[in-house]
Order: sequence, then C-alpha cells, then structure tokens
Amino acid sequence: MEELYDLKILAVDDEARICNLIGEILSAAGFRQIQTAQSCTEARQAFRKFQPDAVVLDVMLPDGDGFALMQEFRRTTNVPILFLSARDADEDRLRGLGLGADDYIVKPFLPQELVLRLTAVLRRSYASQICNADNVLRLGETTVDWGSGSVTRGDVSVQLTAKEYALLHKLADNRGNIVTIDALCRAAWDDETFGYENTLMVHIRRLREKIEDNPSEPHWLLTVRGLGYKLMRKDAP
Amino acid sequence: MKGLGRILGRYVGAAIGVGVFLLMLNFAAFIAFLVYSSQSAPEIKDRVSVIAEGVRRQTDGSFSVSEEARTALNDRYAWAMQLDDEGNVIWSDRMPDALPRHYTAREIASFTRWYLEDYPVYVWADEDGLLVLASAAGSEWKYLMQASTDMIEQASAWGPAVLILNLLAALALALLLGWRMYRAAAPLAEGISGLARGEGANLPERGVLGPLSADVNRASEKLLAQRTLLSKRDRTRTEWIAGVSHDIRTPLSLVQGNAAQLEADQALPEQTRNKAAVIREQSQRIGKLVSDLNLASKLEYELQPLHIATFRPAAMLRMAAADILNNMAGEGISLEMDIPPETGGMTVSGDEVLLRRAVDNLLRNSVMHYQGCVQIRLALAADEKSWSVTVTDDGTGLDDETLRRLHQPREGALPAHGLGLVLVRQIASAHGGAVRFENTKPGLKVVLSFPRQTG
Repeated sequence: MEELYDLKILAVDDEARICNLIGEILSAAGFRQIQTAQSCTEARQAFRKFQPDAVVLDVMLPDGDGFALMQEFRRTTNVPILFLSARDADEDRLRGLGLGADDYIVKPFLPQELVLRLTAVLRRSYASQICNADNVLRLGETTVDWGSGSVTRGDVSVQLTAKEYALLHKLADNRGNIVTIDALCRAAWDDETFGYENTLMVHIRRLREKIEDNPSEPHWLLTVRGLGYKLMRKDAP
Repeated sequence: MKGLGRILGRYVGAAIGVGVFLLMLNFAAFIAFLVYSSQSAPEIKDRVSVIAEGVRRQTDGSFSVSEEARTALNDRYAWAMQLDDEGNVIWSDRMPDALPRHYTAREIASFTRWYLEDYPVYVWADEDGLLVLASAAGSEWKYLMQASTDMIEQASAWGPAVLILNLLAALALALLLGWRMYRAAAPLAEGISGLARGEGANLPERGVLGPLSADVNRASEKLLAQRTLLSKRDRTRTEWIAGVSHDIRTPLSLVQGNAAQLEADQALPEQTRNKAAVIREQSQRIGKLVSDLNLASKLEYELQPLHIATFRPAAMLRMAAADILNNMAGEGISLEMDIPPETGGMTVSGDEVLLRRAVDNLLRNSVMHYQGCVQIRLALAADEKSWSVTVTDDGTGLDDETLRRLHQPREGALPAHGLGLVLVRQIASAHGGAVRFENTKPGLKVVLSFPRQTG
C-alpha cells in the first residue's frame, strides 16, 4: 500500500522544543507526515483531524495524563503508541499495569534510538500493508526477497524455510548489531523455553549455505562466540 | 518474656538464698553463744566446789579459808556463809547484817532454788554442812529447767523438721511474691519487647508498676512519632530527587538530541562534529547519573518496588553483553562469556530489570575507565543454594578508598561519586544477595551472588 515513511506520526509533548526536536529527527529519518501537539486537548483534536498511524506520547501533559489519553485513543482505534517519559516511575507503571503501550523510551533519548524504536513498532504493526524497497535485503551479490522468501545469487534462486526466514528477518532488523541466541530463539520459536540452542546452530548453518559464498568462512552472518549472531552491514574483509 | 522469666527465677533464687543465709547466720550465732557461755557456766560450779574445798572447819570449830578460795570469793561473790545441819550460820564472809543468822528447812529449800532476798545464791553440801555463796543482788538470772525424757528425745527430730519447715515457708513466700511480681511485670516486659521490635506499646497504667508502664507508653509514642517523621523525610527527599531528575531530563533530551543531530550532519567540519559527539556523550552520562541517583535514593529508602519474576540469567547476561558491544562497537572491547551449559537453562527469581541494571553498571564501569583495549569476562555460576555473576576485567582496578567504601556498611548518605557501583551493591542487597569487589592487579573482579529460591 504505502511506504513506511508515508505513515502519519503524531508527537505529543508539553515542551515545544521537544516537539520540534522529534519533528526534526523524524523528518531527517525520512518521515514525511508529522504533526505535534502540546496538550491533551490539542492531541485529541489532531487525533480526529490528522488521524495518525502512530503516536509518540509524553506522560506528563499540562491538562492530563498520557496514560489516560492512550486509553482514550485505544477505545476507537488500535494505532501503535510509543511513550516518551521523563520519570523512572513511569517505567514501573508501564510495566506494572500492562497498559498495552507498544514501547516506551525514557528521556533523555538519542535520535537514532527514537527512530529505531518507532520504525520497529511501525513494521510490526503495518507489516502486511507496507510494500517498499525495504522488501529486499542485499548482501553483496546476494538478494533476499522478503515478499517471496527466496534468496537469489546470480541465476540461482533458493527458497528459505519458515525458521530461516524468521531468523534472517530478526538479524536483518538488527543489522550490524549482535542478536543474542535467546532473542533469535524467541523470534523463530516464539517461545521462552530453553533448549533450542543446538537446533538454532543447525538452522544458522543451513542459512549460511543459502546466503554465503563459503559457508564455513562466513562474511555476512557472523558468530559472536557465547553471545549470538550478527548480520554485517558491509562485506566483512 | 523469656528475659522476664529469667529475671524472676533469679529473684526467687535470691530470696531463697537470703532465707538460707539468715538461718545459717542464726545458727552460727547460737553456736557462738553456746561456746561463749560454756566458758563461764562450768566455772561457777568449779569455783563453788573449789571454794567449798578451801573453806574448812578446824578441829576447834573455827573456819580456815585457803588463799585460792579467798581470791575466788572476793573476785566473784558478794558474800558467803556456812550453815550447819540445823540451819545456823556457823561461818560467814561479808554477809549483810540484814540477813537472818538462822534458816529453816523451808527457807533453805526456797533459796537454793531461787533467790535469797534478791541475792542469787549457789550452794555446796559437804561434811561441814551447806556452803552458800551469793552474787551481788540482781546480778544473775536463775531458772531451773525441767523436761520430760520424751521431749528431749523428740527435740532431736523436731529441730531439723522446724528448719525444713522454715526453708519451705521461705521458698513458698518467695515463689508467691515472685509470681505476683511476674504478673505485674509481664505486660511491661511485653511492651518493652514490642518497643525493641519497633511496635508501639499501649500498656494499662495501673498497679504497682503503673508509673513505669506510663513511661514505656510515652517512650513508644515518641519513637513512633520520630519514625513517622523520619520516613516522611526520606520520602520527601526521594520525591525531591525524583522531581529534580524529571526536570533535568527534558533539557537533557534537547542537549542530547541536538548534539546528536550536529554530530550526524555531514555538512559540518569533522572537528565540529567531534565536539558535538563529546557533548552528546557527556549528556548521556549525565542522563545515566540522574537515573542512577534516582534509583539509588529509592533503594536507599526502600521506596523502589521490586517486580519479582522468574527469568533466565544466562539470557539476561547475553543481552547485557550484546548491548554493550552494540553500543560501543569499535572501542576495543573484548568480551568473553563463560556460561557453562548447566547454567544456561537455569531460572531464578528476581527483578530482572534491576539485576540487568547492576550488570550494565559493572560492564560500563569496566569499559569507562580505559582508553585502550579492555578484556572483560562475564561468567555465570550456580550451585544448589546460590547463583553468581562474575565480571572480571584487566584494567587498573579501583583505588583503595573506593574499594574500602564499597565494602563498608552504608553510612546513611549516598556517596559523592562512584554511584554506579554503589547502586550495584544496593540492587544486590535488595535481592538478599551480596557483592564483592576485588582488585586482581591488574584488573577488577566483581562477584555478585544471590541466594537461590527453590521452586
């Protein structure tokens, strides 16, 4: 339907400069439709008129509480909501109450953190509706098509299994960063249970056979001993 | 209450002791008296016989008095007389004129038993008649004792019986008094124990110990008031810190966000971008400090709720290690994980977020102080009763002062610096665990250990 960056974002914070900062960060990241509000009243208005696809919401607002506002929004739509909070205590409330926020960031935050968290939330929420250039993963000469779940190298094209797809997707989402064994198991088996480590190794080996030139000397999918795996941004030397 | 029982036991013991002591004292005094009086009593008899021996009728009817008898007479007796068988005075020495010179058998029988005109007299019968020796009038007390043979025999049994009866009576009285004292003091003791446990006391202020109970009640009121005041002050301080840290975060977000934007702006010269990076890093550090301070103050005053849940420490450690490597990529960190297979699936209960924070602080501490390469080892170990996380690095370790302070019991106030490591200690103790810091020269070794709950 549309590109991720075409999604409409509403940022609510009582501090005008924080609103501006969020706007700048998000537009620098590529988002094209951003609106800001500085109170619950403004936020409600914007919510009706602008109809955002995601809300970045501060907890302390001059005329109310961000938690209450979220519950209000949630009564009508199911838009993802990302909290931006300045109090450690809010973290406890978010965790304790299970309010159903999609994510929360404690101030002060780094621009890249906000962008990463927001895009992750958006990808999760709008996965089926977004079809864009993001749909292809390029690893040098190899391309992975997320739409069809196939890996193409030169003329040869092979299909990824469901597990391989889930693992590669998790690694690609965190490209350049280490993803722990535990996080990968959770992504592939959707389970906290321990004991998939060996199975995981088998799947990684098969995945390497599909994406690496030389699976025993991987350039893209690297092992970080004792921790997990990492999908490199650039071809490792 | 146990203490009170002991006190009363001692009290009863002491009372019995006093009784026994008094009995023994009396007995000793009695023995002493007997010994003392026995020194003089037989002497009377001896002297009477000695004097009788010395007073002799001569063939011519006159009396001679030996030197020995004369001395004894003068020393001891007021006067003396010798009666013949008819009751006539046939010899006398210093005998008062007022006394008759003849005595009837009735008079003789009377004075031998009692007194002769108030003079206590002693008699000695021999072949010369009856020698009568008199002490000064009113100087002695005379009583003739008579007892049946049965009574004398029973006395040997009665004596010990009376003693035992005395002892029993003393014991019974001591117990009775002790019990009454116990009854009166029990609520008081309960109240004081309550105070020691930190509970309030509300005792009835009647009875012998009423004033004491009243004092205990006052003390309890004061303690409660102070505690309320203290906890209110702690709460206020913690809220104040929370407020300040909240207020700092908004401006800090702006500093950090803008600095990061400048840092990423390719149009700016590299030098300027590096400066922006410094601002960004330092503001991140301030942010970290603020949140450490906030958490430390909450933990210090026990205002931080613990969200205890079951989790796998192996996963948590891998996450912490991956995050620090991801965030500080290219800074020369070498991180080795030591998670033995048997601990990989182990679950423990605790506040995962807080424990993760402790591990993060330790890793950050290892990374922060070194410019070059740092080797960090993160190990997980467990036995049946406990589990532990060990962070080892090859850096310069901690200075002695910091090390000393970290191992000391908390002194009430939060330290001026090294907050991150103090927080580690607080998190450990909030979980009933402990932390040990050790300079391994080179490097620092930190062991976080926790008890393992069953189930």
